[in-house]
Amino acid sequence: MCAMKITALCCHNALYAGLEPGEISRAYVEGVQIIETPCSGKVDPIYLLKAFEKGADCVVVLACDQRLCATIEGSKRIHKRIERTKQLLAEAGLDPERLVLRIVRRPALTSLDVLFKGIKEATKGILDNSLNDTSSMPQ
Amino acid sequence: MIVGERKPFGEIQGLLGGYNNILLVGCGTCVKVCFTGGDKEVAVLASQLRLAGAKGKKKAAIDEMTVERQCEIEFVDEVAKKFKGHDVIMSMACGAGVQMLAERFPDTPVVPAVNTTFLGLLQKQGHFVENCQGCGTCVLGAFGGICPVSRCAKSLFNGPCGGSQGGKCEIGGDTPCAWQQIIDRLTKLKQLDNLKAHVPPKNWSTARHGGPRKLIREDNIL
Repeated sequence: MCAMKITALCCHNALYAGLEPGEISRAYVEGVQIIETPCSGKVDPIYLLKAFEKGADCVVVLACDQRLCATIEGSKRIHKRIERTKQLLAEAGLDPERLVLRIVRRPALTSLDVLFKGIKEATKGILDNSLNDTSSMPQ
Repeated sequence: MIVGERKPFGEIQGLLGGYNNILLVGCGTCVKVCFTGGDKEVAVLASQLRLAGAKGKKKAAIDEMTVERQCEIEFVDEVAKKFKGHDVIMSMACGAGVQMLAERFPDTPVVPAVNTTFLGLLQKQGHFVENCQGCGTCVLGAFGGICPVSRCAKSLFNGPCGGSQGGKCEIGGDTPCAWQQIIDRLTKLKQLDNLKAHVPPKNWSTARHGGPRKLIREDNIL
């Protein structure tokens, strides 16, 4: 079976807030395309749809707790945008559960491997059912 | 501004059924402001159609573009070359924009992706309300700047009906009673006596009742 392709749009603060300059390294998880955004509030539905168009099996958004959001309302917005995008995906015939939002404990950089392991396990069943869908997606 | 709402995705797919080379055209004016048919919404619909097409193993080529103002021929002419070579044009503008494209490109089918809903304003972020029906004879001057034609469910001109309760309209939800608003505003402005003035029956021939309307400005014609 081919490896699951995951694209993750990650809030910069969710990844790095609280780290000392010397502790910061580039976010990396094997098999996951990580795209940093200034805030989860920057993530528009089109970014998520494009990620699926480019062949992602699963798209993940990592956001901060609303009470900690550096831009005050960014994290609040992402919840509604995820719901909207799930609706758009369902209309297009894709399983909306392939889009995952995770509110993370900051800094998420230190726990990315565990986090994505959990996401892969949680979405495995969904993807087993829909891998046929993605085989026809534009790459 | 003109407020519109995107058609259901199924209906859009139905309108595009059978076409292989599709051009999605947004409008950068009213429908962009109400998050219905601007460049972002064009990109979202195009992406959705591609995903749906890929799943259904039916690939249609989808091009995207946004015209700054689709209801003006000058703006459409500027980018007319890009319209060539498509089986169908899907407009994400209001009905005026759709018809402008149909008139400008008589040899290509033009279909709408948006239901044009009303003339309104942005009350708060993401919340649009109807404030004008374009009836052609504005009466706002007599009613404290609040339109009884568009904001009263019955378009009453002589005060609230019995369905006005606690400042809300009987149609339900949180719709305010326009007549309550008119009276409150005129009271605040100390102009309540305005309502004692005789207002003759409204001339509805300037509204849709008189057929399609036209405005000719001789001084602007070249």
